[in-house]
Amino acid sequence: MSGPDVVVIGGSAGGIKALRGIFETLVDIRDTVVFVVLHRAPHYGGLDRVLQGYTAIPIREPSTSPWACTPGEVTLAPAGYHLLAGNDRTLSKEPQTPVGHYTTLAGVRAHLTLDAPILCSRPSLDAAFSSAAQLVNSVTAVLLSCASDDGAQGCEDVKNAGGRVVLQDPESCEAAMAVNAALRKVEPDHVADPRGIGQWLCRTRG
Amino acid sequence: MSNPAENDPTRSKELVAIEAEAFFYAVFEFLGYDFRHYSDASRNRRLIAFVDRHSLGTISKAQDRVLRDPSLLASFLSTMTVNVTEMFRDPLVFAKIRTELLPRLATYPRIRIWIAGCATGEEAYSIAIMLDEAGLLDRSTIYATDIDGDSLRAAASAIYPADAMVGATRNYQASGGERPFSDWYIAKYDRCILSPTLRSRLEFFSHNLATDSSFGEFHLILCRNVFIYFEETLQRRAERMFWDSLAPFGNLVIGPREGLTVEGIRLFKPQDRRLGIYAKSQNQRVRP
Repeated sequence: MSGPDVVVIGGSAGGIKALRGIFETLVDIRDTVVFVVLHRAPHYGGLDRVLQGYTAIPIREPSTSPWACTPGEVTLAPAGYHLLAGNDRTLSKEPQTPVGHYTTLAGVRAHLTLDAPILCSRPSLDAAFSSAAQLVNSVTAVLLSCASDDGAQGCEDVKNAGGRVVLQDPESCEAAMAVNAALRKVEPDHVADPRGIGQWLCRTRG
Repeated sequence: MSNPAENDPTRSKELVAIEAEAFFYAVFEFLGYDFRHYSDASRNRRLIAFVDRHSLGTISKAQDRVLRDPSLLASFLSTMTVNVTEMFRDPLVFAKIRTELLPRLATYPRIRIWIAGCATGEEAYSIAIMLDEAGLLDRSTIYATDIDGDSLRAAASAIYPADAMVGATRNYQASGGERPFSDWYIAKYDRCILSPTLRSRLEFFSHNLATDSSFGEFHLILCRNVFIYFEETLQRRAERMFWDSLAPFGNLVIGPREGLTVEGIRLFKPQDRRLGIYAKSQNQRVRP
């Protein structure tokens, strides 16, 4: 049970610009499930349309939760909610035990929550990365330019759970705080500027 | 003895999932709180936050403690249900309630409103403010329910941090509110208390959407940002309960990032799907 590969891309200050660079070289994500989590003001709508201007890959904000992610699409965390990644579950018609009512499947869902902001942010990069780390799928966390420590802990969780971590080259970051914090916690699988990250994601996918 | 899960991420994830299922099964069987049909990602994340907060080590150890130590139960329920929200969150929804739903509510001699999953009460007070501005508050009762006692106590106190009023004021104005928002509260030090007039028409009490049943007939039900945590089977249960609890032509308001189940679509017709505003379907054939 491996299911689609999952890539979670997170950033804040300078993150939108970096994402634009990634989409210049990552023009096709095939059957990968891609999440994008960007800090912004809680009432800031319309980022999906901005990002859609950078790529032909469909960009979708979940309109319900849980939200079934379609491989080959980008799922964007809406402003004002945390986004958590989870695996599909189905309710067993005839459970084998009184305890386990659900069977876990390899499909991927997005869950929105109103848990307290983390490091003053909702959506939080840590929440998205750490939840993705729990997936049965192969997971890559991509941390972009960000002006707080958000994302560093999540990178460590992904690494500890057997996933991969890619960091934007601090030299190319508008704000390198998160990336530098992550570098203190993990040995990244790759460090590059945005275009380089897009190329690496293309090259290493299954 | 070495821990077989420690160095194998796959085994370790499997173990957490099994421990969580066992935990929620035991809590339901022994304590009666049913989280079995909450969606796993947010539920398990909150459970692990609870384990960490009390330094309980593992979910299995937490199970032992929660089942045997009643003093931990309150903290557990708070962690499992916490929603951090603000007054008039999603101002366009409140604008629509103000302009389209209140005029219909005004036709009833007594107005009954249910806020299901009220958390710390921000939404209940927002509705009370709009009712008061429309001259309807003195003949309205707002029943605000949650499963978490700590949240209900916080809600009933009508006391909020002073800095919460900044966002509340901005949202209130965006929802079409025209009075100075400071009319609704008194600030002292770093806290604010909302007007006692609002509090007098609110009833806060415990109700569990997963296990309790309907407790009356209402003209308007708000249940916003609760379904985001539910698996479909639990959401269906709540939808049926809301249908049973609504007067003819009554409205159901859910969150802007929530939808109805296939069955729910038959029970309620959309009035503004984007804002999550629905009306009870009058077709008798849909009766659940």
